[in-house]
Amino acid sequence: MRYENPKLPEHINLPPRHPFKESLRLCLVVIGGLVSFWTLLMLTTPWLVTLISFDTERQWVDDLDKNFLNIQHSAPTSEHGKIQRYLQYLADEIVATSATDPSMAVTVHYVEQDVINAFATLGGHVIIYRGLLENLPSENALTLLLAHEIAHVQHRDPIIALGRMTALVLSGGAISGFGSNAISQRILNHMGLLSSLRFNRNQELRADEVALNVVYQQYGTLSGAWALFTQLQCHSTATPPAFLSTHPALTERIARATALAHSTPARTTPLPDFIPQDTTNRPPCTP
Amino acid sequence: MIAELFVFTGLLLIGFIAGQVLEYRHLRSIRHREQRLGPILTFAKRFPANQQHQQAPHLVTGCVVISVDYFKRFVAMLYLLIGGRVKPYESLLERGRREALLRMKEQALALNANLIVNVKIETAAISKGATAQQIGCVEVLAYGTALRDPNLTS
Repeated sequence: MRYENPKLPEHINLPPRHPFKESLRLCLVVIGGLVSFWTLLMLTTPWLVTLISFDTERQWVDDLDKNFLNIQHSAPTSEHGKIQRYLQYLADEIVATSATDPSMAVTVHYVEQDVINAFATLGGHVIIYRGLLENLPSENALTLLLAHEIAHVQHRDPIIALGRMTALVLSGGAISGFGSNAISQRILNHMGLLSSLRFNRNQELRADEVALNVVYQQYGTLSGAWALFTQLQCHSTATPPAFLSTHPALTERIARATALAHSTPARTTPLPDFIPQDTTNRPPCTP
Repeated sequence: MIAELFVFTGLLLIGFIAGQVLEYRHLRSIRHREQRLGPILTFAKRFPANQQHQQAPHLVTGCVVISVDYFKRFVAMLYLLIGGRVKPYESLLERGRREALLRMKEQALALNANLIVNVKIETAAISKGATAQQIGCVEVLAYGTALRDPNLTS
């Protein structure tokens, strides 16, 4: 018998390819699929997470160690306790004024740190820092701030933001193929960020609207309330354009608040004497 | 973020250009050597048709390790998401298989053999990427028994 090595056709195992065109098509399919999947996820998450009742949400947070929120407990007679009680009183007034479910109790925490910030987080907890409080010129601005954060709580924005973040981490982990340990580790890492939950533009604008309504109902004017936004803008390190920011740009919010304020009487309610004043030599803020 | 995107795009571009050039050159070299080593016959069966051979049998092996480029790895990762034939890896394994057979034949030629029987091919993924699913390099090993059959005319 005669044997030989024939030349085998190459196109069977190595068909002609256009790698660039192929990968481009592949990328478009994958990106399209991911965008559709994530859009669906982002649209359904708010509905899914709000199936969790506010009481359950509050119970979860109460079970957590709240050290990450830097919450301080003080004697009721101390200066800190006095401010805390005053803030809680204002918050209770706001909850009573805004026509929402009164069972959604809000707890305000005053933190003695120079941070110029305030935020709402899970379980109806609102945190306000001394840095911001001492820069507010009137009670109107403080009420606007608290009403804005309380509106986030009442709209269930914190749990929606957490739900979206968790959904993104889980789906990202599932797609990129991280192990279950890595996914749970990532979720735990994000749970540590409860103090920096991000809300989207619509959530912020909706909270602004509710807050302005509350201020108007309580004081009969919006005058002075926009000072809150000018303060935030003054101390903001970056002001990205509105279309790039998840938050509506502060200038846009100031314009809205100023326009509303000009149509109401110009009078403000001063803050009580025990509210700390800014002792640093920061330049004055001008709208 | 922008810097990372630039690095990623740069790596993809380098991987694409270098990968294409190297693959083209490798396949050209393979075709050329396949022609040169064509007279050495390879058989999957365990024993030669004519067992009257003069030379003592020798084990011959051909081993190659080929790395996948960044571009192919990225495209393969996309295929992992949507399924289908992972074409970049098909060409990688084809090159590995043919190169391993050629190296085995080179050994046989050095031993003055003109046929190899009981040829087997094995592959192994080595040097996995950042995650267990990513393949960094593939090793292909071809081995068989080299013989000299004086009656074989090729």
